[in-house]
Amino acid sequence: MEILSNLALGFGVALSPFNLLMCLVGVVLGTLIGVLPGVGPVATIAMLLPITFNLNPIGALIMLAGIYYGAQYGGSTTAILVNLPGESSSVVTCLDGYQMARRGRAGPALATAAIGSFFAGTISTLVVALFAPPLAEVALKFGPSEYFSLMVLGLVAATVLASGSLIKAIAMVLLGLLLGLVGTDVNSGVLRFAFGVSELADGIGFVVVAMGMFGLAEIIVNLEQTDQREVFTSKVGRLMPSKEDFKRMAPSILRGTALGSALGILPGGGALLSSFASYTVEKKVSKYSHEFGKGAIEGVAGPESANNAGAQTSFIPLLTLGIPGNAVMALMIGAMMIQGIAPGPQVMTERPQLFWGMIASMWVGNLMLVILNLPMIGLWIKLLTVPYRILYPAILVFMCIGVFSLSNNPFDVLIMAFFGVLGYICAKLACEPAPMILGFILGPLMEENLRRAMLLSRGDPLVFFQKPISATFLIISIVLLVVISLPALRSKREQAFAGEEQK
Amino acid sequence: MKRLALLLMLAATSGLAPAQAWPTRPVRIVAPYAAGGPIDISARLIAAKLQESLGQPVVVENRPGAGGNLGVDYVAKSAPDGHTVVVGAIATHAINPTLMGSVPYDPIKDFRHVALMVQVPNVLIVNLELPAQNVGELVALAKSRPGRLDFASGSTGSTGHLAGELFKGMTGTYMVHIPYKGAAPAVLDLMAGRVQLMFDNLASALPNVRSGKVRALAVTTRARSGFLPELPTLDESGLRGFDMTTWWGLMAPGKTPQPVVERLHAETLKAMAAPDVRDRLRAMGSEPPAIRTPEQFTAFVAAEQKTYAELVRRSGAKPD
Amino acid sequence: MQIKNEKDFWAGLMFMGFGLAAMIIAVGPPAFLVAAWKSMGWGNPEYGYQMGTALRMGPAYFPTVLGGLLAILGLVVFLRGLLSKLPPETMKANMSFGILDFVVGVALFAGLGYGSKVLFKSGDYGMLAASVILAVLSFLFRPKTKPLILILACGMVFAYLLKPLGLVLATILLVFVAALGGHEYKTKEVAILAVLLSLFSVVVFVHGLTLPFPIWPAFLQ
Repeated sequence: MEILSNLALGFGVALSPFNLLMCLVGVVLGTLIGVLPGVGPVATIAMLLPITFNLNPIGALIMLAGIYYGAQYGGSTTAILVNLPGESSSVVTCLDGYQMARRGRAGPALATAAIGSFFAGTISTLVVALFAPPLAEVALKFGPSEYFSLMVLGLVAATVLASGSLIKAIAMVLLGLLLGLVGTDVNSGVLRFAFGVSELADGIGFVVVAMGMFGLAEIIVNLEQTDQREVFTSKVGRLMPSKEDFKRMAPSILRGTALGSALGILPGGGALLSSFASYTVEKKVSKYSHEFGKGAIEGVAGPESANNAGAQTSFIPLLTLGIPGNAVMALMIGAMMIQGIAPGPQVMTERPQLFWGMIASMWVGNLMLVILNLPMIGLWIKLLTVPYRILYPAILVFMCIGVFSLSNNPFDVLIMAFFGVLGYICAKLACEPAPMILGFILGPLMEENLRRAMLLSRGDPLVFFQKPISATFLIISIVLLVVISLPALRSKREQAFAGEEQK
Repeated sequence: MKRLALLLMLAATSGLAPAQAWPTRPVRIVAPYAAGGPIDISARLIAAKLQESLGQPVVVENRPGAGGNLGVDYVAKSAPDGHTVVVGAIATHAINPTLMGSVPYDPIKDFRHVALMVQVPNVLIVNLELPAQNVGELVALAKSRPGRLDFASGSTGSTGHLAGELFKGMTGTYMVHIPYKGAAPAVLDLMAGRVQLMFDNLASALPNVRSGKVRALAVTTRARSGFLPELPTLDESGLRGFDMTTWWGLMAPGKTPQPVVERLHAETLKAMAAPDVRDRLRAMGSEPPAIRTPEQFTAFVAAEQKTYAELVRRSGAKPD
Repeated sequence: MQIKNEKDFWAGLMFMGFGLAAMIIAVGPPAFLVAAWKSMGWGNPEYGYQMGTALRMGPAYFPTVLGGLLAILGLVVFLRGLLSKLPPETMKANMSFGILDFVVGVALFAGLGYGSKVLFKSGDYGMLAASVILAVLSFLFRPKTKPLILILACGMVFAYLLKPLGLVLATILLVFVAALGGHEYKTKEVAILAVLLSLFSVVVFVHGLTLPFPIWPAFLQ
């Protein structure tokens, strides 16, 4: 089988001492970057690009890729420990992971994230190896109509993210959509909702919003609880998941991996959706759905697997078509170009060592990450026993430095403060931030695709139902909406009481 | 009296001293675009070499936003001591001033145009299924199907967009402009056939042309490209006078002293000539520009600004 | 009418506010407001983006639709807040500030920020001043808002003073202001933490990640 010989070639390349070292450096750096809130893989890769000039191209790319998915692992860690999502994919992990940490279950949460991610990484690497070319063809079939319908589906699913009132969740989604529209409109070039402030011309950055709504708001709300001295219960439980935990997380990991692998292929933002989609699926499918939002282990296992699988499979459009799925991929294309490698379909045939070496090293990197991260769990748990009055200023320092470093402009911190206030108000008014964040991410993409689809179809709205893939997504959205609203309508009263909203 | 003479001497030499002393602290090259893009990468390549020759750290600082205007404006208003420079581009200095109505800086007066770094042509590429093998056939096809062809671009007001508008104007055809966020998604839709043609910049188009995923019809410069010598130019194909490139170069605040500008210019040219930098710039589709001196560069920027002012106005690419 | 469900009441208002604001910014204020403006002799107000048609949507289309939906949902939530049959105690918002305080805060920031932009060409000084003033006001009049105001203020102080004061001093200031926002303030502890954090930041962010932050104040350069 050709695939075996290709994989053998790949591992031969990936396991060479130099490339192993590059991989290690990459994943360690990536984890550190992911753990530091605000500083993201984009900034790091940009800073390291000059160093890669002098390195062997395969080694350089292995390191950069390692930074990318290492950051996913690191981002999950901060999401669980301090409710700070470093990447859009970690937002969902905040929901249940942080709640698990508050209840003394940080160890199992971190372990679940690591194990789920590793499993997903393994499977999705195989997927990339086996199915890269045909999957790339699938990616080509997704045009603006398909993306729009997928995002509609994603937004309907977003309402499931909230454990409280459905109407308020939908309203938060809409609010997020609107906030995402701030900035320059792609189709017309008009600057919207910017009030003449040129810093807003490219929109509000995700990191800024996430830091404000999740990080600042959480700290402020915690500090207001003058009766409660410690945020994290001192009763720190076991480090590793229990047998029951394992039984519960296994199916979630499988489902998450499948979803993430499928969605990651789509260059136009598929990977973003994978963790959100997984959370929705888990919540709907689980018999413990009432635990979601308070520390359900499936709420960590599924999304973590999904986002890692998505991260790996998003290399497919990069390596086969030369299309970057996100900003980090765009940087890697830049790195490739510096090395004189033109990304695109010919990479697979002209440079098999590069292609297969990278794929093999993705698995090696995942292995390194799980070996590195599992023992660190003990360290992280120790960190949580530090008194909160010492912990939160440290968190704030890292947040502020991180946000400031995004574009070296104090304006970003100002916006973060704005979202801190908004997040505080929302927390007090029982409006949940997660649906808003998803709306925020998807809003501009949705509008862009909607308008482009209409432009291409010359104004025919039926095009969304005429194309098979698009129609499928829309029908599923409608069905899902009905499924979600029915219990909500029935148990409106129950939901209102379900608020242990003691704040 | 002696004190006066001393003061006079100091005053006289103070004009010279900064240049010889420059740089006295780390130099910042502001890249007004996000990290990883071609402008950012070329800036980092140059920065590495300048650091060696100037003896001070040279860092690239990304200040993205407003199509590049934020970073450019920041440097225009920075201290003109040669320690803060910017990579200004066709977007910030020729197109945006008209496209956006007004910009908070004067692209000519507020800057010293030190050195043109990169100049790349755009390539007219079409989807493989399109029944047009050359520009002539494309024009005929477009005329037979007015309003049925779509051309993609990386953003409203980009050179890809304006090249398309100029093309339409000169050939009298009507095609619909579909803007995207960046060249990559545009190329994807081009390959899939959802749009039919695109004026993509050479660097991003080259791999796709070479691998046969798209068909190239012509280049937008007056001279043929060394990378695709078999491709005719639009000028040759009947659109006389068509000459568009995407360019960017190093610029300093307007009042930067002449000696500093000259030294920076000399060192930048040296950096660009270094074999590894030159090769990497070539890999991005750029050949060493013909414009060498700051005076030529300033004249070039002024000419470009006038050209694009006219083009933007004619195309109605103003935000509506 | 008693507010039965405080949370929904204010949430509804907030949503309506955002929704209506979006619509007004996108399309322009309703006709009678425009007429009123003109009658004041202030000339033609500039507003709105092009709506376009459903076929060729302009930049105002999507925001208007979304804003409208949000406003409607906001109304529903608002009414729920008024008419809800649940015991009011669980539905209290428990916010540390009232609506008047909110307005004062926003006015302070907007006013000082705009004023500083006009006078000094940069809104930075105004924002910094507003944060400080707000912090002092909250100390004096609304002690319950201490965490909120100080956590926000510490970020602003850091961001606007980073360039003039350098990383070390800005971080130390950040830690102190942040610690003041908590309810267990021990000076010696905070001082040690501040120094340690600023040291750590310099090593990791400036030396390690080569981020372009000045370490020491500008006047020492």
